[in-house]
Formats: sequence, C-alpha cells, structure tokens
Amino acid sequence: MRKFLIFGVIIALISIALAAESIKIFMVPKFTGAPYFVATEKGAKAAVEELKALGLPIDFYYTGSSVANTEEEIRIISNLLEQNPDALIVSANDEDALVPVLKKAKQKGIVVVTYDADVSDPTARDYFVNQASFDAIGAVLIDLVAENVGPEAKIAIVSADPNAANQNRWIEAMKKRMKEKYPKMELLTIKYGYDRPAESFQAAQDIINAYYPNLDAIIAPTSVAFPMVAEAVLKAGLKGKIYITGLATPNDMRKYVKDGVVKHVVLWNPVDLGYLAVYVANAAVRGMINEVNGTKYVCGGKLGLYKVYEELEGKKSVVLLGPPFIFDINNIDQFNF
Amino acid sequence: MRTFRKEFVLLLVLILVFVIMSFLSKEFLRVSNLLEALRYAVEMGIMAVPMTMVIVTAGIDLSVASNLALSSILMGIIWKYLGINIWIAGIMASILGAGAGALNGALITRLKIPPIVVTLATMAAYRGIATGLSRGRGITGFPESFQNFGQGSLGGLVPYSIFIWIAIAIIGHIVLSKSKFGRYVFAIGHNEVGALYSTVPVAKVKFILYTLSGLMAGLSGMIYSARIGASKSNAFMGGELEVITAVVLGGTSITGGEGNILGSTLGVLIITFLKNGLNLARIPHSIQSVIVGIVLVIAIVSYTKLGARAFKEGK
Amino acid sequence: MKLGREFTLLLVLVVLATFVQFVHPGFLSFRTIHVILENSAVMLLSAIGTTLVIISGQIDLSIGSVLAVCAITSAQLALHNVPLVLLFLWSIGLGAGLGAINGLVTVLFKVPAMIVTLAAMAIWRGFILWWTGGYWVTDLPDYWKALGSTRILNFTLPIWIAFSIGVLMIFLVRKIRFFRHVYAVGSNRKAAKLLGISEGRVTFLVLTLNGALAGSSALLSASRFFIIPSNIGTGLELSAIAAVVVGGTNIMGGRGKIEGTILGVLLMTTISSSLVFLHIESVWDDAFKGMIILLAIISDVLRARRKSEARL
Repeated sequence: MRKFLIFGVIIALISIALAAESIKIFMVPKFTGAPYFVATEKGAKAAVEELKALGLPIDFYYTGSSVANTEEEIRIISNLLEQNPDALIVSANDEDALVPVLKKAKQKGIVVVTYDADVSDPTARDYFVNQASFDAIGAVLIDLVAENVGPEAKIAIVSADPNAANQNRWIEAMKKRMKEKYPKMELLTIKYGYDRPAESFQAAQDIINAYYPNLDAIIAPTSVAFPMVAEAVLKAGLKGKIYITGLATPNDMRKYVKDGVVKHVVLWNPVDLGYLAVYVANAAVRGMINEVNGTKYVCGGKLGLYKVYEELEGKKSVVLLGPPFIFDINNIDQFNF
Repeated sequence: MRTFRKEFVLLLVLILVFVIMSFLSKEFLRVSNLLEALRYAVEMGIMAVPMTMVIVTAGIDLSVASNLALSSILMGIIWKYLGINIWIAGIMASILGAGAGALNGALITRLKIPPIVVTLATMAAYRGIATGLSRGRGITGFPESFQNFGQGSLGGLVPYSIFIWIAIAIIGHIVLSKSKFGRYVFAIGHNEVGALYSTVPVAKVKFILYTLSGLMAGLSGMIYSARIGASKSNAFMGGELEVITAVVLGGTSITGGEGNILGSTLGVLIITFLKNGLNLARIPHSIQSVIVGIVLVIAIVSYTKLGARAFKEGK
Repeated sequence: MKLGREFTLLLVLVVLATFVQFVHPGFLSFRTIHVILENSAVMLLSAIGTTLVIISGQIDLSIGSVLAVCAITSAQLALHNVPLVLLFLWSIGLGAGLGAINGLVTVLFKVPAMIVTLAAMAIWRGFILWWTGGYWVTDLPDYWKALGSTRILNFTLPIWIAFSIGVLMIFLVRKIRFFRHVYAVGSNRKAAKLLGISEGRVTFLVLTLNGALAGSSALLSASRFFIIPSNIGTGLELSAIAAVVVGGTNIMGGRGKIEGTILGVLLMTTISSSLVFLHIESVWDDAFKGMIILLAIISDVLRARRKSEARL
C-alpha cells in the first residue's frame, strides 16, 4: 500500500514539474442570457478541467454582454485585451463590427478563435470553429420539410434580426437547397422577430393568418422564434397541419416535441462546440496543431481528431464540429442543454 | 454657486471610480487602457453635447442613435453606389443627419408636437429606414485611411477620434455657457413663455438645437463606421438611452433650465470608466447594469438635495 | 365634438382594416381579429397604467423590466406548481412593489420619475438577468396556459380580462376622486396643491398602480407560452408610450382618456399585424410603424389646429 502511495506522489510531483505554464483564455459569447450559450460555457469549462488534468492548465474566464448588443460586446473585448490573454474565443454579434477589435487582438499576438458566429474578415481571427456547415444546416431544414410535407411545400421563415449574419447565411443555404432539389417549393415570406418572444409570436400568428391554408411549413432558425412559432401553431389549433422546424436547444423545445406540434428540432451540440473551441484555442496557443501532408489537424479531446479546413464555404481555417443533429421524440430526453 | 458644486461632486465621483477600479484590477490605471476605453465613448460624448442643450430647454431627442445608424448607412450607400470619396460621403451623410434633426426640429417648433413624442416616432422611423435601405447587410471595405481614423491612435496611444470629441465639447461648452445663444437656451429652459415674451427667438433656437443634434448624430455615425469598419443599420442600438443617462448623470435637469457640457462629459467619463473597470474586475455585465442604475439614482438624488440646500441658503 | 379624437381613431382603424381586407381578403377573419384582440389585450393593461402616469405628468420607463421580473419569477414559481391565482397575486403584488419603489424615490427625493424609472429599468433588467443565470424558464406545466385555453363566446380569457378592466377604468376614472386628482396634478401642479391635493401621494399611487398593471400584463403575456426567454418585455415602455400618445393622451400631462388608449393599442396592433397581409417586405416593418406613428401625431395636431381655428 505504501509503495503505491509513494509511487503516486512521485508521479504527481513529476507531473507538476512537467506541467506547462498556465495560459489565459477568455471566452465571449454573443450574450450570456441564453441557455444555448450557457451550454457552450459548460462545454468550455469541461475542456478546461480536462486539459488541467493533463498538465495543461488554463486560466479561463467566460464573460459577455447579458443581452445581445454589438457595441457592448466590442467594449468588453476591447477592455479585456488589456489583460493580455493568450487566446480569445468569440461568438460575434455582428460579423463586420467585431473585425477591428479582433484585429487589434491579433496585433497584440493573441490567438483569436471564433465559434458559433464568425466574422467576415478571416484575417481578424486564426480559426473558426463552426458548428455545422451552412449548406448542411440549410439542406437539413429544407429536406425535413420536403420529407414531412412534400417537395412542393409552401414555406415561411421567421428569423431574428435582419442584420444577423448566421441567420442570413442559413436562409441563403435554404434558398439554394430549394433551387437545387425542390424547384417547386415556394418561400412565401420572411419575417423578423428580433429574437423577442412577443414579436416573434405575433409574426408567426400573422403569417399563419395571412397564408394558411396555403401554408405548409414554417422554419424558425433561431431559438426564440422556434418555440414561439410552435406556440402560434398551437394557439391556432393547427397542430399537425403546419409543419414546423428550426434551430433551438432540446431543452427549449422539449415540451413542444412531447406535445407533438413539433416533430424535429435541428441543432448541434453546443456543449461540444464550447468544448472544441477551447481545445482549438489551447492547441493554437501551445503550438499543438500539427500539419501532415499539407493538412492541419487539431485534437478535440474526447471528440477526436479534427481536420482544419483551409477553406470551407468561403471561409478560411475552419474546424467543423460535425453534421447538424436532428432531435425528435425518440432521443430528445437524452440531452440536457 | 449651485452649478459649481455639482461638477465638483461629479469630479469626486470620477476620482472615486478611479480609486475603486484601480483596486479591483491592476490593468485599470494603465494609460493604454484608459485611452482605449475613451475610444468607445467618443460617439456618446459627441452626442451628449447637443443633447445637453436640448434637455436644458426641457426637450429631449430620442432619435439620436437611430439617426447615427441612418447616417452610417447613407454614408455607405453614397460611397459604394455613387462612388464618392468616403470622407465627402461622410460629410454628406452628416448633413443628411442634420436634415433628419431638422425634421425633428420642424415638427417640434412648427407643429408644436412635444419633443418626446416626435423623437420617439423618428427613433423608430429612422432606424427602420436604415434597415430597409441596407436590407440587413453591412457595407464594408472602407479605405485604409478612413478606417485608421476610427481605429488608429496618434503616437499609437491617443485615439484620433478623441480629438474631435474634445473639440466639439469645448465649442459646445463655450456656446452654452458664454454665448448669447447659450443664454437663450437657458432662458427657454427656465421659462419658455417668459422667454418668448422677452424676444428670445424660441422657435429658431429650438430648431437649431435639434438640427445640431442630428448633425452630431450624423458625425458620430461617420466616426462609428470608421471605428467598426462597416455601415450597419443596427449601429449603436440603445445608444439614445446611454447618452441621456450620461447627460442626466452629469447634472443636467430633465425638467430644463440647468446643465452644462462639462457635467455631461464627466457623466460620460464616469459611465465609461465604471464599466471599463468592472469588466477588468470580472464583474458580470448584468451586475454592471444594476450598478450604473444605482449610481444614477444616487447622483440624481444628491443633485436635488444639493439644489434644495443651495435654495435654502438663499443662493 | 367631445367624441372627436376617439372617433377619428376608430375611423382610421376601420379604414385601415377595410383597406387591408381589400388588398388581402381574409384579413378580417375571426382568427385574425382574435389575434389582434389578444395581442392588444396583453398590452392594454400596461398601456392603461402608462396613460395614468402620463396624465399625472410623469413618465415610467421601467415597465418592461418590471414585466420581466414579474413574468420570470411567476414562471419559476409555476415550475413548483403554485396555483394560478396565487401566481396572479404574486405578479401583481411584485409589480406594485416595484412600482412603489419608483414612487417612493420619486416622491421622497423630489426627482423626476422619468430618471428614477430610467435607472430602475437598468437595475431590474440587470437583476433578472443575473438571477436567471442565463437560463430561460422552460417546460412550464399545462395549467400555466389555463388563461389562454379558456374561452368565453370563443374569445380567450385575457381578452375579457383586459378589456373588462379597460372599460371599468373608463368609468372609474370619471367617478373616483383619486383619478380627478391625477388629472389635476398633471395639468396644474400649483393649482392642485392649492386645492389641497397631495402631489406626492398621487404620484406615488399612480406609479404603484402602473407597476401593478405591469405585473398583471406580465402574467397575461407570459401565460401564452411554455417558455419565457429572459429578454421578455424589452421595449415595452416605448411601445406603450407610442400607443398612448397615438390614442390622444397629451404627453405633457393633464389630458387623456382611457378610451383613446384602448383605441390606440388596437390601432398599433392592427397596423403591426397588417404588414404581412400587405405583403410589405419585413425589412421595412419598423420604418412603416415609425412613419405611421409620425403621421398619426401630425394629423392629430393639424386636426386640433383646424378645430381651434374654426372656433375663432
């Protein structure tokens, strides 16, 4: 027994001696007031714990504006630059407005990793950890409509802010998919709910009233509008008559899936997204991204080995988390985010 | 005497903020931090100047941030689609911003619609027009020199845009406190009817003020776009309440007749450095909102107490 | 001509509805009308409270944040199966409490309510965002939606509740002395004081009442959904003020009618809903709404001018 104890202590001491220097990583979501981002924080902190156990300690700080506000995000990041982190992980409220402050970070030698929402200028950051390819998300959403309603469905979209880059990209991808595979599918209208519950709810109600019965499906690629669209369909008594899908967390949509008004929820795992983002940032700072035969690879911890795409969908240096995931009544209880 | 005391209190508060913040984080007192934090206060600081005067007349301009956004978009459109030099486009957009302010002024002075009502409507309308025109996309790709103006610093330390703020604040201060126009502004704020009968050109003064407010909003739009490298319709959302908070914190009375540029500028500085220090001290943003709100209440209560005491002392 | 203003509003509403129906037949279906009525109902109580505050000569900018605190805490209680009646009492009571704090600070320290509530707006929103830690209230139990599921004559309860209270207020405001004091304080502070009306008491009560009405609006609004995002209620104060002003209440105080507010709210909601039917591209939604508010205000002033000129 004592031999094991001494052995253990020696190993611990060696590990401590060999442990790398602590690096400082700041993570700034679009805003902190949403369960989606809380999930990314959870994953990020799990990664930090794992890396610490492996002898790669990180001084990690997660912060952001409490509501979605581009100006606040810029100010917060700018202030934090003074503390000279080694890496910055950012989900950008606005793909253009965040560019200058991130460029400043890079000028200071900080590794910049965007996640969830990228910036428009790839020179402003080192890597973009994308949850799923834009085309894949657009395709999955449209395919679900086609499979559940039909290839000639008439659809409407309830989005967030007309300035939201991710939403706009997904909408473009949806339009592309429609054109390529379902030319007879028709997009009736897009309304913007600005991620506010009452506005999104009313937008969905107005769409239903204006177009039903010539409306087959509504897609809501945002986690405030999606449940509100479900509510509107429920309220109108049209459960089962209008197909709804979109992007939101399983926790947000569980009630609606169990009820049956929503059959499929598309997303990815935000916990994994935050987790991977930390691994990528850590690897970038510590020079652990390896190039083999001209392609870069980065270790994503438990998630495995990831390829770093030189270019993907017009974006450079992308790490792709994976394909979009479809939650439905059979699997939704297995997740807690 | 009463006004002098308010600025004194504000200065003390600012010093207090500095002292507390410097204890909460070691980076706060760094010159680079303080100057860089000011860069993000420039638009607020510039718009606070005409806002102070407007509020002194017992008016208000809720449309400033929307005007900023609209000017930003117009500048982008003029530059990109009409091929006009970005600097000239910026000036043109600022003039258009002044025009938007003039519309506010006309509705307020001609139709005698209360300022809060007019600017509430134009707040929605102007930003809405910006969103419609831009269709939710930003305009980017401004020339280096323009971006450098917004993002760069003199000697690598002092942001260029700060100089514009200082200039405008100084001019505004002189106008408000030393010129006849400034006296008219105070007269209107103290007693508009009385001013009217005292041959103060009330309507003209008000019209000019709202036009100026629009002009400064337009100018801030230009600076903002240079700073973020893009024209966006969602620029500076919620900014109007930030500016008003700073101005009121600075001692300008919402009921009119009292206020000055120095106080408003100190108000902007207090809010800016308070948030800056709290960010560095890793205090969550939600708590920051609470703190700013509490500071505002304490300030406004103290001003009334100060005012009451001065009044009692027969000043 | 006493009915003038409200009649004009009603006329505009009818003309608008007819026009939209013409462009898009089906607008005046029962479903659409019900949606407009319910969305109006949800806002109406806050708008009534705002009307009284404005008549008294003040402005309350905190109702959006108060609504959020009331709605979210009520929802959190609902997760523990607290009965709906108690939730109502909680929400109204909490709203009244927060309104009372506004009132106390305003009256005790003699500061304008607009600034106090500007600060309160930031404080309560910051508080609730901190309190929820980023999470939204989800998986609310079925009974939470009881209000919206109960129908009388095919109209849901919130519509009955809000409009009944609205009609009740129309009479109460004319009969109860307190409300006459509200008008007095708003139109001529000094005269009211000479008449022995305590401005402080009136202001305090009006702000408390506004808070209570915000609390009730909170439940009417939030009980429509199984999920309550933390940004609920953002922008409510400015929407309410817009509806109240369009409804004819004078922002300077002393004049205004509940009838006008009811019509103002209905008009704003109708305009909002009609945009889809008019096939207006959604990127122009806000521009339209803003310009229509502007038009309403301008036409109101021109109408009043013509009237006073006619009298001369």
